[in-house]
Amino acid sequence: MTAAFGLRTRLVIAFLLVAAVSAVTTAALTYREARSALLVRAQDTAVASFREEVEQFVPGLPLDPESLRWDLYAIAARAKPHPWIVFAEYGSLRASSGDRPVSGVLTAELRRTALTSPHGSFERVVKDGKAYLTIAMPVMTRVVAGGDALPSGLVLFAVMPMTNEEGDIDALVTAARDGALPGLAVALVPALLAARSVLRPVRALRRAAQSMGGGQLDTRIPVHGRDEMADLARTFNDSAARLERSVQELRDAGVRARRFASDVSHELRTPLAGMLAVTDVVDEDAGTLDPETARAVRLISLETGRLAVLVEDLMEISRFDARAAELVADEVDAAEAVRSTLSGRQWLGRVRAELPGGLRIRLDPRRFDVVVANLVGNALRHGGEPVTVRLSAREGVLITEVRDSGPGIAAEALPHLFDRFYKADAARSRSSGSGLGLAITAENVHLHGGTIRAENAPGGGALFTVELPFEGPASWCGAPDGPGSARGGDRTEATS
Amino acid sequence: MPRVLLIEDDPSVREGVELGLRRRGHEVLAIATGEAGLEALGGFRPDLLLLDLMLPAMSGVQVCDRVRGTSQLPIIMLTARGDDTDVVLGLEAGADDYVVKPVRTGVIEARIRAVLRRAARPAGTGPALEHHGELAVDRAAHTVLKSGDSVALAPSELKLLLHLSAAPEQVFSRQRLLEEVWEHKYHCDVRLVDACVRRLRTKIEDPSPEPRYIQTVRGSGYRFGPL
Amino acid sequence: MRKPVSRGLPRTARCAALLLVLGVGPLAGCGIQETAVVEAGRPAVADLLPPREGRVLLFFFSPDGELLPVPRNVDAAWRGGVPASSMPDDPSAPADGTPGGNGLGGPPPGDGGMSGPLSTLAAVTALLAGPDTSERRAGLRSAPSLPGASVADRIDEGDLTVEVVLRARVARLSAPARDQLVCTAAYAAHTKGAVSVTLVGQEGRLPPAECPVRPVPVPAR
Repeated sequence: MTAAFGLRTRLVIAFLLVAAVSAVTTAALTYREARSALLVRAQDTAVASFREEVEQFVPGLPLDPESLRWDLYAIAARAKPHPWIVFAEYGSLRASSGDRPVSGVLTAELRRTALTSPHGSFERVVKDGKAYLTIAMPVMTRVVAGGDALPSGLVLFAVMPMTNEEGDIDALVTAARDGALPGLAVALVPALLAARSVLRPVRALRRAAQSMGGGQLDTRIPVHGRDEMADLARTFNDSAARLERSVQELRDAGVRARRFASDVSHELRTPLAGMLAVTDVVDEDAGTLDPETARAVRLISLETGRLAVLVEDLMEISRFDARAAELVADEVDAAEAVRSTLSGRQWLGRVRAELPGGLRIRLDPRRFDVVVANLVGNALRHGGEPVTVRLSAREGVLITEVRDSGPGIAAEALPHLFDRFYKADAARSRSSGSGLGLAITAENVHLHGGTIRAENAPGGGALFTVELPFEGPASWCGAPDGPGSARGGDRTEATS
Repeated sequence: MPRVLLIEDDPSVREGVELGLRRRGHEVLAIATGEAGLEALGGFRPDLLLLDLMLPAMSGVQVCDRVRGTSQLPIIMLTARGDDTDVVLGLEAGADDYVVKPVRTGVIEARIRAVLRRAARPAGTGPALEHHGELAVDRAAHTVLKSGDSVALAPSELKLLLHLSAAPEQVFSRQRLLEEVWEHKYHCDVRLVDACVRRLRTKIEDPSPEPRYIQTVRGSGYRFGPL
Repeated sequence: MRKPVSRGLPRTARCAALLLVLGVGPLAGCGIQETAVVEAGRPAVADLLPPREGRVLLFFFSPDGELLPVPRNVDAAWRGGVPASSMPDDPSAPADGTPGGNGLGGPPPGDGGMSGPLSTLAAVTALLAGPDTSERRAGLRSAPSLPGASVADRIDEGDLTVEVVLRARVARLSAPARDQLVCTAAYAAHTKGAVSVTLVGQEGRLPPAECPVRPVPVPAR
C-alpha cells in the first residue's frame, strides 16, 4: 500500500480518511440522536394520547363485551400519531378493535408488567422485520370520584406499526449518507491544496536534487519559514555547498594532475625529438659496431621510438582530458578513407576489406584514420588473421566493424578494454604500443558523437564496432565548414 | 645534394636533425634563432628552409612571413602535435609542408624530397604555355603570368595550380590533393590544402567574392574553372 | 533508525480495521431496535365503577391470581342488600330484602362514610354466592375454601370495625378466601375499605384484618 502510492496520493487519502471519520462519526451521532428523538417523541405521543383516549372511552365495569368492542373502536379511531389496534384484556376476556382478539405482537413481559406495575408501559417489538410500538395501559378505577384508585384488572393494549418512523429513519440514513459523500468530495479540494502545499517544497527539493545530479552543483533551495521543510532545505543547501566544495577540490586536483601529465609529456618531447632524429644514424651504423654494442644501440633506438609514441599518445590523451581536442571535420567517402588508412600502412594485403562505395560521411579524417589504424593494428597484433574491416550504414550512422580471427577477448577484460594502460594480457604488454591506443580510439569516436564497443563475435574472434553519425557530431567546433572560401587571405578564418 | 637551412632553438633537436640530414648527404646549416636564420639566408643560399614553428623571439610564422616577402624558397615547418593553431598560421604564412616532431630523420628527408620535387622544373621539355583566361601558365618554365605580370608562387602553390589546371573542371577532393600534390601517404591535415588554396587565390584571383580559377565544390573539393 | 519493512503490514491492517469499524458501526445501528418493557407514566385512571348506590363491590380472583374489585349492579332499592337485577340466577338471594335507609339517603360518594350493615351483609352474601355467569366468563373465581352461600349470619359494624359472623368454621378459610371476605366486607362497609374486619365463625373468631387491596393515590406522571 505504501509503496504503490505516491506521497500526494497518501496525503490525500489520509486527509480524506480524517474527513470521512469526522463526517461519518458526526453523521452517525446525529443520526442516533435524531432517531432517538424521533422515536421518543412518537412513543411519548402515543403513550400519552393512548392514556388519554383510554381514560375517555374506557367502558365501565362490569364489562359488557359488546359495548367494550365499540369503545375499543372509538379509541382505535382516535389513534395518534399513527393508527393503532387496541386490545383489551380483563381476566380471561379478550377483545380488540381488529380482526383477531389477541395480538401476536404483545409479549408476556409487557402483560406481566401491566398487571403488576401501576404504570403505563411500552415496548418496541420487531416482528418479521417490522417494528411495532406496543403500549400497555392498566386501567385503575377510582373508588370514589376524584379520589384514590384501585387496579381494576382491565388492561388496554395498543399495537402501533412504526412504518412512518422506519421511513423517517431511512430518510435520516439517506440524508446522512447524502450529506457525508458530498462532504467528502468537498474535502477533496482542501486535501489537494494541502497536499500541494506540502508537495511544493518536496518538488522543489526534487528539482534541486535532479539539478545537482545533472552537475549543477551551485543549485540551492530558497528557504522559507521555520518548518521541517525549511530545515530540510537548509540541510540540503549545506550538503550541496559541502559537495560543491569537495567536487571543486577534486576537480582542481584532477586539473593539476592532468596538467602535470601534459607538462611531463611536453618536457619529455623535446629531448625525445632530438634522440629520435638520430636513431636513423645509429641504426645505419649499428652494423659496423661490435655485436654487443650494436644490440645495445638498436635497443636504445627501438625504445626511443616507443617512448616517442608513448609521449605523443599521452599528449593526445591530455588534450582530450583538457577538452582541447579539436575536430576538423570534412566530408569524405568512408570507403576511400579506410582504404587509404590500410594502404598507407601496407595492410591492404593482410586485411579483408568490405568497403561499399557511396558512404559519404562528415568526420575528421585524421582522427578517423587513428581510429581505423588503431583497431586494425590491434587486431593484427593481438588477434589472428584474417582481419576483416567492414563498413555499413544503418539509421543515420556509419558502422565500422573490425573483426579478427583470434581467440577473442577474456570476459573479465571486456569492460576495461578502453581503459588507459589496460593490458588484457600481461604477456602482450611489450608487444603493443603505448597502452593508450584503444583509449585514444574511444576518445576520438566520442569526439565524433559516436559509440564504440567490443565483443566476442559469435564465430569466434574479437569484434570492435564503431558507430559514427553521418551528420557529424551534434556540436563540433572550430572546424571550417568546407574546403576553403572565397575570402582569400583571411587568416583568422581557419581558426574561427 | 640539397642545401638545407635549419632554424631550431632546441639544441638537441637541432643537433639531432642536423646530424641525421648531414649523414644523408645534405648540406645543413643549423641556426638557433629566427633573426640569425634570416641573416644567414643570403650567405648560405639554401634550397630549402626547415623551420621550427616555436622559436623564442621571432616566431617561425614571422620568419616564414619574412621569407615569403622576398622569395619562394621551399619551406617545411617543424611542429609539435597539438600546436594546431600555429600550424594553420604557418601554413597561411606560406609554408609548403609541415612535419610533426618527434620524428625520424628519414621522414623529414622524405618530405624534403617531396617539396623539392614540387619546386623542380621538369627537365628537357620545351615551353608549354597554356592560357586560362588572363592567366598564362608555362608548365615547362614553371612561371605564371597574370595579365602579362609575373606571379610569384611558392612551390606548393605552383604545383597545386599546375595540378588543377592540367585537368580543368575536374573536381579533386582535398584528400586526393594531399596525396598527389603533397605526397602525403597518411591522412594529414586537410587545412594544408585549404591554406594553400587561400594563398593561391590571393595571388591569381581578382578581388571578388566568387573565385574564378580555383573554385570550391562544396562537400567535394576543388576544381579549376570553368572560366 | 530505519523502520522494519514488516511494520507496514500491521499498519495496513489497522487501517482496514478502522475503516471496517467506521463503515460497519453506523450500519449496525440503522433502523429501529427492540426495547425492553419501559414504564411510561401513570396508568389510565377512570371511574369504572357504577355509583356506590347502584352496586356492590365484590372481590374475586382473576385467572392471574389477582384480587380484583368486581362491581355488581343493583337496583336503586335494596332487596335484602342484594341487587336483584344482577342476581337472577342466585337461588339463595333473599327475596324479602327491604330498601336500606342507607341506599339513597347514604352519605355522598367519596365522603368515606360508613354504609349500613345490611348492605354489607348483602355484599358478603353475594360474594359467598360466587361469581355470576358473566363474571365466570371473564375468568373470575373465588378461592376454593370459601364456603357456599347462605352462611353469612350477621354483620356487626362498629366504629372502623366490622365483624362478619359466618355459619362456618373460619379457621378453615385459606388466606385468599379470608382476603375475599375481608375486602368485600370492608369496601361494603367503607368506601375506601379503610376498616378492620374480624371474621367470626362457629368455633371462634379470627384476628381483625384489613383488606390488602387499598386505593392508592394516582401516580403522577
